[in-house]
Amino acid sequence: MVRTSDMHPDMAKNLLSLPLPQIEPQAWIPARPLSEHQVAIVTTAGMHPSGDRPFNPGSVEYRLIPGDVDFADLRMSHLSVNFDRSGFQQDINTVFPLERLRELAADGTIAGISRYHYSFMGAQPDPTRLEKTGEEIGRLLAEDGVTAAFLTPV
Amino acid sequence: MCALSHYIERGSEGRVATTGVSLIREHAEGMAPPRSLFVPFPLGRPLGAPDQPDFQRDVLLTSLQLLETAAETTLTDYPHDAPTSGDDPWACAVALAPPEPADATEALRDQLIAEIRQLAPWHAESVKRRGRSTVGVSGATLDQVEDLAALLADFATGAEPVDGEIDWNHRMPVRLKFASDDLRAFYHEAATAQPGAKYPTDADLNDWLFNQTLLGTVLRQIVGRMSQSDDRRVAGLVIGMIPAGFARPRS
Repeated sequence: MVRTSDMHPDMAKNLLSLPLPQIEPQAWIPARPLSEHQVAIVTTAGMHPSGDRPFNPGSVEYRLIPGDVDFADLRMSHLSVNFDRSGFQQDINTVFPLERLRELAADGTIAGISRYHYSFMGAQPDPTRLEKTGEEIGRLLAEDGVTAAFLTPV
Repeated sequence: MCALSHYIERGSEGRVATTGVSLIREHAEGMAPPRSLFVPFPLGRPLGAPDQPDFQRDVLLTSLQLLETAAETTLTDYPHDAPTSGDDPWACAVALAPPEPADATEALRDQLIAEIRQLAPWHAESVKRRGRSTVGVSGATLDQVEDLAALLADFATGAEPVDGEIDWNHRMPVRLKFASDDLRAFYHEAATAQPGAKYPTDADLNDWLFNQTLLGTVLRQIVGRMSQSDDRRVAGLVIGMIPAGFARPRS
């Protein structure tokens, strides 16, 4: 069990001091069967293909991760030192479960997988700075026929 | 993460529903993403544990199922803890016996490189077994890992770092952060490639690296120098170098 109460006090204090801006929710998107969903992964793990630019401090940009990405080509340039990277280093699915998603598509649990996935830098001191790029991802996913995004932090 | 859920749904004009996992329940409570599964796992392991496909799939599926069940903003709790290797404490099978760090730049370089060479066969095993390495965010290739050690030894001893052959992704001083991350990745990958070392926790690996390797001692020296720097860019890197709880050696 890991909750903030189990963490090192400095880390918990830092995490709980981050601002939590209130964002007006959108109209509720009605539920539909999982088997009808085209799913993309959006991660804030600071991941990117090795040939793409590493993230810099304060970056609110995103990086594109093609659906056919070779796991050997993925890197993580997240700045925070206070999360475990060894799970990612041993098995990228610990953070970016693309192989698990492929299994769910193969057995028909979901309809399919997006051609593209997206990665941001996490640990943002002001999450509202992600508004522009977040909305851009929403448009890109929708235009590509994606119906659901699975968001994974680190 | 929670903010992105709102922004993605808004940008998609209702065409893309979001779900996800949350590692910090207080953040999900405060920002109320449309659908979220709180998972009681260590930061950095949102799917629970490496090399546990059945467990990872269950976490993913439990979150995805909110897409077909949630009729309003929903935050649920995943009922299982992450799998561990049991009660046996993990220990790195390679006894590194780190020396007292040398004061002279060249000598410290040699010491660090000697430690890296002790781990290199296990890192080669890691690459063979996993087919990849995550080393490279600094710009260094795997065959330039010893050059990363040289950079850290230079800074730790107050010498002027030389550019060397690496096609760096960052300028100084940010370069130090990513050189350090790459070396830690090399050590972690080597340590977790050893027999019986399948499921060390993040705390196990940090305890090993920061208390039982020369690299850990050198990283502390670097942080000491950074914190005394008059350059705010250098001093600002201190918080990104060593995880909370490992700034001092275990007594």
